[in-house]
Amino acid sequence: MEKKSVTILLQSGDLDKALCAFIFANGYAALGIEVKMWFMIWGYNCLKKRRGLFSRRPKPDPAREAAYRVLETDNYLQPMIELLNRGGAGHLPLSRLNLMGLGPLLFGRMLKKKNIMTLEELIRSADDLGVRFKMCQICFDAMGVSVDDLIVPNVEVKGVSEYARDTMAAHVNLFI
Amino acid sequence: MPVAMVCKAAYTVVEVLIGNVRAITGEESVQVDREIDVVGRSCPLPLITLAKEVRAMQRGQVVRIIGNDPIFEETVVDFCREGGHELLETTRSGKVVSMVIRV
Repeated sequence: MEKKSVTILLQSGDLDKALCAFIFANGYAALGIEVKMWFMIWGYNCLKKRRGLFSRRPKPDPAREAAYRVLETDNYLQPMIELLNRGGAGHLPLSRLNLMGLGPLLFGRMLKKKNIMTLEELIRSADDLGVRFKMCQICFDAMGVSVDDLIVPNVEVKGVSEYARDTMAAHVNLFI
Repeated sequence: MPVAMVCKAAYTVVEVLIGNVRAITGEESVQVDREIDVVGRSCPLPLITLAKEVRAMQRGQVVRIIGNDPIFEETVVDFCREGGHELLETTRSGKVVSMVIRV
């Protein structure tokens, strides 16, 4: 029997949607199905390391990032969006009932009380189970993301052609 | 209606008797290689733990997994169906379910 595969694309930067995406990824991977997770514009937020407001984020290493980031066309907008869009799995907003930041705290308490895994645990467990993480290159470049700054060590940066091939070969494609 | 109730009661009694007989003759004791306890943890942790343990085991080994979340039993049954494993026995005591699988 041919091996089944699944793609999940996370475009939303909300806590509830990211939780759904990673629960599915873990579920499919645990059943032995090959999972490829894609991340687009706001999807990177759940993978970023949370830094303080004034901490110096390491500059992207030109040799390593040259393949994915066109550093010559960076202007003032990239640092600005890095400042405003710090992200981090523990600091995502909710899509509804955000209550100016109170929503995610209450939501987190609710999940913890019921012993449900947190988003960071789900991400690491997905990595352990062999889920492949891929990112969209143009959004990666435009939003000023750096590959070294993510909590998952091996992330591939690919284009839309790879996405098209992955989805055509997959049995289930999700857009979250 | 009373006939159905009497039949159901008789079935329950017979099931209990057979269960006791099995316990006495030791038929239900299978050699378990590993044991996993996920009592108190919610989905999807039982599934992930089971998948990781089974990946580290060889074909033919036996694992027992104990859990008490509401969909624990269905999760394990689905896992066996997808991976081609054999479900040997299921024991329920209250909400805690203990299932034995042959990998």
